[in-house]
Amino acid sequence: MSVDWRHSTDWLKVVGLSPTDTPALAERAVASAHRLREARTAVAALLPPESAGLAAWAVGSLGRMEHADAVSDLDLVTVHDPGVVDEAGALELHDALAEPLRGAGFEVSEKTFAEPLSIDELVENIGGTNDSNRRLTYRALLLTEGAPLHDAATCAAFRDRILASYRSGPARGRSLISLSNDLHRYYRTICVDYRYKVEEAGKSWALRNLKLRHSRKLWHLAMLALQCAGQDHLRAGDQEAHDAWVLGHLDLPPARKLVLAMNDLGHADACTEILRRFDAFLAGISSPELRGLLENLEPGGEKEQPLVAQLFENARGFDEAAAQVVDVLLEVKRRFVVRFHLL
Amino acid sequence: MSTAARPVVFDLVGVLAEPTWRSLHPDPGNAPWTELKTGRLEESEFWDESVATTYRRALRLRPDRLHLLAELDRRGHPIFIATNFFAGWTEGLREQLRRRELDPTWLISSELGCAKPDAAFFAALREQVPEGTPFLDDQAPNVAAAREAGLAAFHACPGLMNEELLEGWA
Repeated sequence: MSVDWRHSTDWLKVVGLSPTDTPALAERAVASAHRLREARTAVAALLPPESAGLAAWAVGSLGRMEHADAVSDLDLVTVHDPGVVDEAGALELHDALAEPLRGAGFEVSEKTFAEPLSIDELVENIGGTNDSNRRLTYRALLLTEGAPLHDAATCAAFRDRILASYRSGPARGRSLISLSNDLHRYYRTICVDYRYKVEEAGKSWALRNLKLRHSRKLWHLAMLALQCAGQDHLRAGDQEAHDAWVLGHLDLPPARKLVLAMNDLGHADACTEILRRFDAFLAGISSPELRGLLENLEPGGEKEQPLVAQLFENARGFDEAAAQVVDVLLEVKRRFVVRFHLL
Repeated sequence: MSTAARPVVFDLVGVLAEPTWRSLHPDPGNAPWTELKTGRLEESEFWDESVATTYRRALRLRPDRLHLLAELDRRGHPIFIATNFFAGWTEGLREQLRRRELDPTWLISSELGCAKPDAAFFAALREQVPEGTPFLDDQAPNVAAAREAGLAAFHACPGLMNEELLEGWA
């Protein structure tokens, strides 16, 4: 069957589900598409006749099509071309974009992405001494969940520059392995960063823990599956087709990316349970009240609140469901998984 | 025509320009795009005027690709833009090109009444460019159809940079 992976819920049919089977996932996808249009409309009037050297994306829940107005903020990521606009000018443009977005009802996050990075910082010294968690985060999220908000033409040019830094060069590897390693590195970084945030920075643990065990894990698993499925395109002897397929699907929302990849491998049915578990997680954290409980939960207190306990139990079920997918990957792409994902 | 000055054909959205209309349409999965792109539908039947205005504002040529077009033009290559598109959306793009004194030849599906990958579209293109002309598109079926039509078709893979194209063509 022909599937529109980006603009419909047809992809759920691939695993024998419908929007009513995964209502939170389906509702959030619809809400995200609607809010992305509103965000793009809110900032369209600020676009000058020629590129001002600044591109803006939504990452986070809106970029992953998991946005829910009541509980989600907007992670606005901006990147500038220092040859066109300097750091101070870029910051002014960033702030100018945030204003109409707030006017459109978005809570624009002031955390990780409060200031623009230059495109040069994102494509030079990858893995070197000048690389940083912040640069890694920008690269990983722009490539895998960045939804262009402002100056889509410059967004595309910047994205291609980042991708080219992995695609080009004598050490790239046939399977885009430096990209794969960088995305692995991002996932492991946020797992370790959890300890820092909770133990040293005084942040609350429960919601972070649940997000890592659902959203982030799904993000990572979907990337692993995509790269495994990409191997069949490479085996057809066509490097260009491999790169086009893997990179062309890199920014699909994780759930769709996982289904696409597993379907390509002939095992879409292995995704059914993990989608149900992910839907239960999204439904659970859609409640502002429950999020309030999680925000103030002491370590060990998760068993005392039934709804909270249910979410942590769901995380255990999610692990089991993820293991079903990994079992399939090991069955059909064992050598690739061992060589490039494990070792 | 000398080899050095052979024409080069580009797809528009996904290669030279962004964004796709789908980023602003309220129901992109069910929009009557086939009818609009082949000139069988009025724009007012496709989306509201306010969305139409926003899309025209948002639609831009990529700054890196503008450099590529300017460089190809400087080297004497005639440039063609062969696109599945609604002609009424192109004015801002034409203005961007005019500012750089670029004047490509446009083949737009809504004016031709047929769209890629139909053979009729490529027949119209082949009337204007010779066999072996470089053709760049981001859609695999269009690339395959272009090869069938005798063009030297390339898939615009994500991460494709101008340097690769200039090395291959000019």
